[in-house]
Amino acid sequence: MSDDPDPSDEDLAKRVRHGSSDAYATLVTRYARRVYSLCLRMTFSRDDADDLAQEIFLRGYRSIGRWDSSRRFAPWLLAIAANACRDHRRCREPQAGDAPRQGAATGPPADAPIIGLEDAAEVRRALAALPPMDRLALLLRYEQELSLDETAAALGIAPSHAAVRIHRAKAKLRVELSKGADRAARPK
Amino acid sequence: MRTESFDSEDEALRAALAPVCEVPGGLDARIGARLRAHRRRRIVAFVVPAALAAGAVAAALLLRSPTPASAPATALRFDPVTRRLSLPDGTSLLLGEGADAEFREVEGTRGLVRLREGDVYCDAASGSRDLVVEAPGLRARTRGGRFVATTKQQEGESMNGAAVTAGALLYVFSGQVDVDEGAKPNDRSPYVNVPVALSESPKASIERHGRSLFLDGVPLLAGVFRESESADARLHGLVVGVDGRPIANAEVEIRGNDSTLATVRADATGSFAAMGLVDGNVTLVARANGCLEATIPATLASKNDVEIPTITLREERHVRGRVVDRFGAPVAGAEIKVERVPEPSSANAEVIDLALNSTTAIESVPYLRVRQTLASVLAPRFEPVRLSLDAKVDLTIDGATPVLSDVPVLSRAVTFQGLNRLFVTSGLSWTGVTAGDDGRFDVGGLEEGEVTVSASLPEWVDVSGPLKANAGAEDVTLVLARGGEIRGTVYGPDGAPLSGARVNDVVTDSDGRYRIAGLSAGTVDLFAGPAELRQVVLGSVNRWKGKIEAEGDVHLVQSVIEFNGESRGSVRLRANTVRFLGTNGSRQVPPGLAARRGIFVSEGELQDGVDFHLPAARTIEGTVVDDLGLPIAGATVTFRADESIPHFESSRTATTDESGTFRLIDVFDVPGTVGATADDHLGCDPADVVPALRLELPRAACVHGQLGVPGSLMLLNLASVDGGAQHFDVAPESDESPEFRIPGLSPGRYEITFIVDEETHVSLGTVLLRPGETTELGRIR
Repeated sequence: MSDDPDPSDEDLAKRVRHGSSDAYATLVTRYARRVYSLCLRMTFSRDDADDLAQEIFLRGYRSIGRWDSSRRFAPWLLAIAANACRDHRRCREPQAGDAPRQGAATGPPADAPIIGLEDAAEVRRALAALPPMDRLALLLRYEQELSLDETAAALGIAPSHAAVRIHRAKAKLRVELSKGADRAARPK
Repeated sequence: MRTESFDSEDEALRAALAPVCEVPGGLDARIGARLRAHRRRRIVAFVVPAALAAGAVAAALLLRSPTPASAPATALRFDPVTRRLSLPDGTSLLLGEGADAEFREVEGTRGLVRLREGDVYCDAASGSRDLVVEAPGLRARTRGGRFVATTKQQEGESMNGAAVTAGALLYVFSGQVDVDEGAKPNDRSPYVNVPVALSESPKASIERHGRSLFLDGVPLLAGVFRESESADARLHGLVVGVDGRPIANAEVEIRGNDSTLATVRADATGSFAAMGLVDGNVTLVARANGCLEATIPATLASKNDVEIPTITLREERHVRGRVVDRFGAPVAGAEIKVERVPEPSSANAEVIDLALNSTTAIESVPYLRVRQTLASVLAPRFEPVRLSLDAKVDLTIDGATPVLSDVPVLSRAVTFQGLNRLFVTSGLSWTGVTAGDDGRFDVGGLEEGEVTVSASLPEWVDVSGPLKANAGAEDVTLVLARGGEIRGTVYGPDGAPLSGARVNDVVTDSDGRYRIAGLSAGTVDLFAGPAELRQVVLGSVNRWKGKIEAEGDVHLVQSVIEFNGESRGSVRLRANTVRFLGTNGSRQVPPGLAARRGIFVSEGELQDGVDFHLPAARTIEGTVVDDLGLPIAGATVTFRADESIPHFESSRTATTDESGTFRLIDVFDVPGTVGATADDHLGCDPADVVPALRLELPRAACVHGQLGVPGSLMLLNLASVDGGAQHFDVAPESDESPEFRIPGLSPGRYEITFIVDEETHVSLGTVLLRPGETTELGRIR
């Protein structure tokens, strides 16, 4: 029960279902960064991401009764997050100027070349240029590290469809990266 | 179980997209505050102005070294771990992460917050009206339904609140602040109508001009202020059963527009009361074990004690049974739907467009109302109909403006797991549950009467349902059979598997594979084609009557036009411009560029290897001219694949422009011919496809005349002097006019005879009909 010093997410979620708000506070602490990051990369606005993250956790709390305790908690919460991002009125096509703000977000440098480029910030810039659904698919898969089945569930599509979407989103990402490379190579 | 692996590129992508490290300070606290507000079912917030010191000190200073002087144990208690300041009356403040602030006592239990940097969140309980805050320099904005004082100028932040004169003291007072963030009537943020409880005595420094608050002449809150001496509306009522006896412990939930305001329970006499409510329209939802829910609307006003009419709860009925397969083995996880079809006289369908098969979660919906279904449009009005998977419904909550969209309503009821009571009025009502591991189900919340029971499960077919039963039935057996399945691969023109191609509604995976399961026994028409065409989303479409107009080279590739709950249509096509003029419901549109195969599949059978080899696409261009070589505008040009190639639906149609030019794009490169038609022109023989195709449509002749008796009918016989004869029905252009006209005739010399009846023939002799000309025949008597 509550004696476990490091309970699993699922244990915490079960406690929440039994009325423990402290358990949910722990879950919020654990997932605030991941959820906020997803929101930020979908909305390009820190304020919107902040608001959206709050909304997502509130939805999660209200919907905890529908979480299937035989499944992992994280994909369930991130499915709510994905839905919220899709529904968010400001989750939109990328605008000029979004990418630098997005690029300002910090993340560990890539150890290996990514799709021909070494700059992780460049990858994030290219990501920002993708259509929202493609962006969301890549973020769920690679940022949130969901499995293919979990990504598909979060997107509300079949796994085979998710695989195709991710495949195509990566292809678009390569195109965006090549554009960036072209710009970089262009004489000033 | 699915096995997965990441290649090096995936690993690099994961590294590049690692979640951001920088999370705004206080996000946890803001979430916590909203959750507490949610739990309390009532939002009470304080405005917390803050002091802004020039040259903010380092963040989290206070968190690291709280001083006893700044948090006296007797009145104000600050916990550096939780970053919470507790006041004696139970009020607490949360200091945002990284914020620099101090708290101190003022006049006993009155507190003061001085904020230099960061955010402070108020989590004030009712009755805490003695908080005084010093506010030189303030930027306040709403966060999750409460006001947040912050010194930060957020990028792109719209100003909710403004700078306040340095040194000013803000005394807050009772009232209500409506925060208007530019919300549209149907797009209200959850932050509107936030009640703000403030201190009792307004000070002179606060002014109210119109509906805005000012502090020393500076707008304090960008919003609308509505004075309300007390948010203290009350209501009370009684909950009884159909026998009139009170229902003790019945739950009464009081809902506002966006959320639950309060939940109270009836006492032993069935009486309930709630107070401290905000003015406005509310909905009461009464529940008790073993009873159907009842919903009552009410309007609250300040200081008024509203008496709710007695709420009568009726006893609920159940339908119980089990789901089995063909062999009697239990089938788990099937979604059970119990429908009750009302008497035709009580049906009140109201047309709205609908959407299904999406995944938006339904939260806290008291009941849903189907205002119209596609099925009921297709069926005679008021005739009970069964909603099918492709039916479309619009949802409303409590009869208010539709607020849910993209909600799967009658598809597989995954969405309704956990929502055990779903009331659909206006024509149909149904309730759904999920069958357990032993295949058993128990559907409650039903009224008396006859119902239909059906089961659905992905990839299974309901072969027994819908069954009729009476509410209260205990042993209903539903039989599911595993549906047929078709798999295969779509290959491109180069012989390689085609990823992202479409077979009916399924998209092929990266290996070009597709899979369609859950098929009923019978022949399935499969259409395979590329799915690369641009999707055009039609916005702001009002309802769903009318048609779609597209201009340019139009290639419609989606076979079903769908609409979602926001009255928008979505259709994939390629065109220069698209206009939506409405359409009379969802309808089948012949698929465009697609290979077609009819496959017979039996129950539970797997048909693998149903492959498609798509030929390359090409563009056919040319011109349409008349017999003088002049271009014909508006001619319809059609490519048809040879009948010897039955697997391709390659029909393409285009219209010529002013120069007589046409362009058919994305035509499969299969044998076929091109033909054309145009008004006032004769047709042409289908032509083989060649570059710069030229189609000649001879000009047609026309005859004109008047019938002797208006409204009479005759038969016109045109006997060509070169042999052959044609018959035409001759009718006047209107009942009042004797005029008639017969266009589209082949030019030439004809023996013309009007046949009035079997015995009466009127011969006009030999007449020469010239191309492009109208020959006058005069009055026929």
